[in-house]
This record gives sequence, C-alpha cells and structure tokens, in this order.
Amino acid sequence: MKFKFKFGDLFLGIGTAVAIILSIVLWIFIMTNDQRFSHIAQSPHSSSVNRDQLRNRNTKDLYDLYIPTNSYGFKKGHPYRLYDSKKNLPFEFSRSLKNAKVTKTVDVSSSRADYEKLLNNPNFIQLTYPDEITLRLFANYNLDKRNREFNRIFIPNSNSWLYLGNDKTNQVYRLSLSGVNFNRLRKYAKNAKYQSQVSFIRMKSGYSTFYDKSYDWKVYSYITNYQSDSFFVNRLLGTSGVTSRTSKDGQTTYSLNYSNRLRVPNADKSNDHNYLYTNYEKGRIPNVNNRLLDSVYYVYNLGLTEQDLRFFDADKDSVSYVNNIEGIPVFLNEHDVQVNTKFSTGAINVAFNSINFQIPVPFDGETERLESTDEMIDRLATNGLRKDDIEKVIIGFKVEKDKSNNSLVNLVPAYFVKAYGEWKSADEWSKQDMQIYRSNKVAVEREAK
Amino acid sequence: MDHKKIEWLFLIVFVLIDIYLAIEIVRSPVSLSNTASNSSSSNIKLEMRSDGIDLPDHLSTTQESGYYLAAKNKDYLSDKLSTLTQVNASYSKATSTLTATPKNQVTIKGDQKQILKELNMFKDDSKNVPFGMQFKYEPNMSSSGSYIFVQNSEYGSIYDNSALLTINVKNGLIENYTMTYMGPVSSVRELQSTISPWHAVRSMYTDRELANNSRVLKVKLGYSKLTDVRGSTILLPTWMVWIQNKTTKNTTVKRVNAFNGQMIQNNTSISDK
Repeated sequence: MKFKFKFGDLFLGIGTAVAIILSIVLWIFIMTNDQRFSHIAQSPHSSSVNRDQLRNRNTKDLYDLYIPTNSYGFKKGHPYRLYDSKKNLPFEFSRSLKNAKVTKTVDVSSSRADYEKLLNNPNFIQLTYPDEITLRLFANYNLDKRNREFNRIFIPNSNSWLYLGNDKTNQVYRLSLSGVNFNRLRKYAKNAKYQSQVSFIRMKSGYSTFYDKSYDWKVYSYITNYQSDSFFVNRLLGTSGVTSRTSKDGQTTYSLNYSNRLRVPNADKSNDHNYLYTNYEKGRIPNVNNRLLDSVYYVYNLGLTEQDLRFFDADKDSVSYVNNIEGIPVFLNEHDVQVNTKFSTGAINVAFNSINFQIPVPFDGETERLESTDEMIDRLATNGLRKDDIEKVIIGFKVEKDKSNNSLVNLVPAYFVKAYGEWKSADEWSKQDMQIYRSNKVAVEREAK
Repeated sequence: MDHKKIEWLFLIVFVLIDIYLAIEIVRSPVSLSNTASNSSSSNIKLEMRSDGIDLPDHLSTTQESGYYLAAKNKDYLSDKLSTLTQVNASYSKATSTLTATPKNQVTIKGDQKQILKELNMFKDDSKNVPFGMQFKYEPNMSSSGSYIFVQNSEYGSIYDNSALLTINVKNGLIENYTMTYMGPVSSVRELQSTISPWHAVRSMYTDRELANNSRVLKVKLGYSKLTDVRGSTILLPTWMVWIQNKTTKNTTVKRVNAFNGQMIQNNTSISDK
C-alpha cells in the first residue's frame, strides 16, 4: 500500500509538472507562431509573389494596376497628349503586351542629351507611368537579375523592339520582343485627339509634362460610396480575430493580437475616411521589384474597388496607388492618395481611403481652365517654392462635393506639385509660408537622424 | 493531505489550460485574404463537378473589355407613331411601350432560318417597327411563338426591359409586337478591362448563386442598367449567365458585374426562356 501511495504521488507530481511545462510550450508556440497571427505564410514579404501569381489572385487582373497612365504622340513635330475616349491607348498597349516575350535587353545610352533627343523624336509613340516600375514587373523577363527601372515606353514603327526610358537617370534600354503587335495601337494613336501640346521639362526627379498653353479640362462627376469600418475589420483582421478595441482621441484601433492593427477614422463630421493598417513583422525592406509586387498584395487584401486604381508613386520605402480617371490621378482630402504602402524593418503600414467612385455620371459640359504649366511654376516661385526644389508636376483631380447631392462628387482638374517628398496642389503650395515650411522640414529631418 | 489537494488542483487547472491552448492552435486561423478567390481554377472546377454543376466545354479565361454607357431618358417612340403606316400602333406613356398589329397579314413560315429572315425583314422596315434595325435576335430568350430582339449598339447588346422588341407569331402569322427603346447610347468613360467568363461563373459559385445540380448553358457579355443619374440611364457591362436546373429544366438568367464580379441582384427584367 505504501509503495502504491508513493507511486501515485510520484505520478501526480510528474503529471502536474508535465501539464505546467506543456502549457508553457503551447503558450510560447502560440505567441511566436507568426503564421498564425501575422499570416506570414500568406504575406508576400520576401518576394513570395511573382508577376504571374498576380494575374491569378483575383477575379480581375491585378496587373491592371500597372497599366501606363498617359500617352503622347507628335503632330507637326510637336509632342501632344493623346486622348481617345473610346479606345484608351494605354489599355490597348497593355493588351498588346500580354503575350509578349522579351528576348534581349541592351543598355543603350544614359546621356541626358540622347534622352532628350529621344523624348522629342516624332517617330515614337510614348506611354508613361507616373513613376519608375521594374522591367520584371512589366514583362515576362528572366534574362538577368538586375532590377532595371523605367517609366517611359517608346513605341517605334516595328513590332520586334521598343525602347524603355528612365526619366531619373536618362537610361535607355532597348528591348527585343516576340509575340507583340502594336499595329492597332499605332492606328488608334493616329486617330486619337491631339488634345494639348506639351513639352517634357527636366525637374528634380525626372521629366514632367508641361502644358504649353492654358487649356480647358473636363470636370467629371461620380456617385460615391464608402465601405464601412466593419468591412475592413473583417477583411484585414478576420471575422472573429479581433482581440482588442481601443479608443483614443476619438480614433478607434482594432487589434489582432500583437501583429495586426487597424486604425479607423472618426465617425463624426471630420471623417476623412483615412484608415491605417499595420502589420508588425520583422524583416528587411524588400528591393524595388518586390516592393511593387508586395504592395499589390496589400492593395488586393484591402478589398477596394480596383477598377480605376493605378500605380502612382514609389519612393525608397513606399509605393502608392491612386484612382486614375481618363489618365488623370485623383487626389483625396486635398492631396492624399488612395493607398500608400510603407515598408520598414519592423512593420508594414498601409494607409488607405475607403472612397469608392461607384457610378460615373455622364459629362455635362463643365470644364476648368488651367493656366500653362510655366505660369503656374512662376506663380509658385514668387511665393518661395523654387523650380529647382520641385520634383514633379502633374495635372490631377481634386474631389469637390456637389451641392445637389450628398453622394455626388465633382472631380475638378488642378495642378499638383511634388516637392520635399510631398504632393500638394499648386494652390496649397502657394498658400504655404515656404520659409516656415523649410525650417520645419529641416528640424524634422534632423530629429529623424 | 493539503499539499496533495493543491497538487491535484494545479494538475486540473493546467490540464484545462492545455486543452484551451490546444484548441486555439487547432482552430484554423482567420484568413487575412479572400482565400476562396485564390483557390486554383482546377480545384474550384472539381468542387463544382462534385456539386453537380456542369459548365460549357470552352469557358474562356480571357479578359474582355467594356464601357460605362449612358442613354438620355427621353420618350423616343411616341413621335414615331405617325411613321408606322403598315401597322395599327398605340403607345403607353406609363410603361413607355409601343404595341402594334400589322394592318395586313404578314406570313412567317418555313424553317427557323427562314422564319428569322422574314422577321428581320419585317422589323427592319421603318413603316413597321421604329428603330427596328437596331434590334438583334436573341435566341436564348426566345420561345416558339415569341421572338425576342434586344437593342444593339456599337458597344454591344443591351439586356433590359426598356430596350426590348417582342414579336408574337401565331399560326404562321405575325400577331402583334411590343417594343421599348432606350435611345442611342454613348460611352461615359474610357474602355476598361472586364473579368473573364470563367471568373464570372466562379464569382457566382463562390457567392452561392449557382445552385447544385444545374447546368451553365451560356455566358455572354451584354449591357445592363445600373441606375438613373441626372436624366440618363447608366449601363455597365455584365456577364449574362444562362443556367438550367437539371431536374426541372427551367432556365434562368443571372447577371454578374463584368467590372468587379459582383452579382447584380435587383435586375429581373429578362424573362426566363
């Protein structure tokens, strides 16, 4: 009996110890299992997404995010912005390129003089992206591991090659192609409306399109709606995964354990519909090609309507997307983009807006006259924003509410200028005290260092 | 003895904690992404087959393209009554519908091809049918005795009750016809890409809009009414999916928004075959 009693005691002790150790092990497993909480297995970090996978991710081709946004042709030796309301030239180009294969790539030139000569060569149709993308994203290309970047495509009269140009570095690549036919694109370009005469002017970050005269630009209208907070909470944190909900200064943050957070905007009148999703995840900032690909993954996960969403801007650690209506980017809340994905070593932040341009309203004839780009630049210069500090200039839409209907918005064309790493409308820059702005900027940069 | 009780208590508490933690681990994590749409096409096809859903042999996976279109809301037909000299016509403003009966007998006989030829000749004559040339025969919506034509445009066919011509034939004669007309359409925005027919069917399946034991007969791109805005009707490209119940043989048509793959629920304007 004594022996039995002792044996039972021993088992009880061992059993308790095992139970305690097991619970510690399970707890550690749960807390350290990134796959479970931060969904690393599904996340694209470390470039698990490739170009072909993007094509299969969704019901619609996510590669549409990387369709060029503008096209240019020549009339009497002058470059013009091309526009065809029926044909959509960049879309036609993208369609022609779907089955293309790059057979050879040659670095042609990197001199500014040669680049400017090419920019003004009337024998090419030009298609542009608002910022550089990589060759690997653009076409089936596995010839080498270099991430060649470009933002301008020069289409010659041949179907067997084209030039790609990088506005920042003046680098030109010659791509030999098979399986493409640009004949239809050339035909459309010939019949397109040569809407406005332009010049390509060198700015701090490359060549911007300058409009030589003042032109009337169409004002478009849309019926809009907004996705609810719960839609994004469900989409990003899961239907039953939210572990905490905190409110601070009127802003609510939902968390899924320690890995994922979603900050939703105020529901009151100041609601700017700006959300911030953070995925805490240790890792290196991906290279440029993977930043572009990975950002697409996050855009898809948001569940926004992607019909008009296009790649807009990329910096060394971020990639942004905007809605692009008839080749013109839409800026929200004065100068916000639709989605901005920012990569850091500790987290990925996805700032986005929930607006959905749901139903296009037929054009009613309303236009907005914009001054020539030179005039606008001169106006900003008198206010203290020097031309040398301007990185890019673009015509974009600002969103204005229509008085007749709450959900109706008008997209009013305006100049937008990127300087000191920030996009703002020309009107905003002209109201800015540049001396204070510059000193604040210097102070912030010093603090960051 | 107290020490032993405490040990038992510890054991029970930690075993319960272990069970809870194990359940937490086993429970499948909540997916960040819409994994349903990430599943491979072949897996979904297999799932469909096991649900008794038959698909057409060659369902394309190639994207198409389409426009947002607009048509001005206007009474186009009432002005045309005086030009219809070969029919007795009346117009209902309430339903915007023109109804007409031929003044003289119009014989429609022969095989299907011959019947269609004669019907086309009848409707293309502006003394019989206004804007008749803009209407195109739609076999998927027609039945014997009731021949349906949909309004056609340079952008594609419009599938809506307000753009429909129905010619009724009885005993080899045109009995009468009813007609609605949306007017000329124009593109509201640039050409954009749409989803493929396969993606449309897949969206229906994942949205549980495709019942078990059914057969997808046909998938066709057309335009459907989205809404009315500022005195215009807005149309968008839709994948029209004809589905037959294998048991009852009833055919229904469902619509999928070709831009985003969402089901268009409120549109029941097309009659079943």
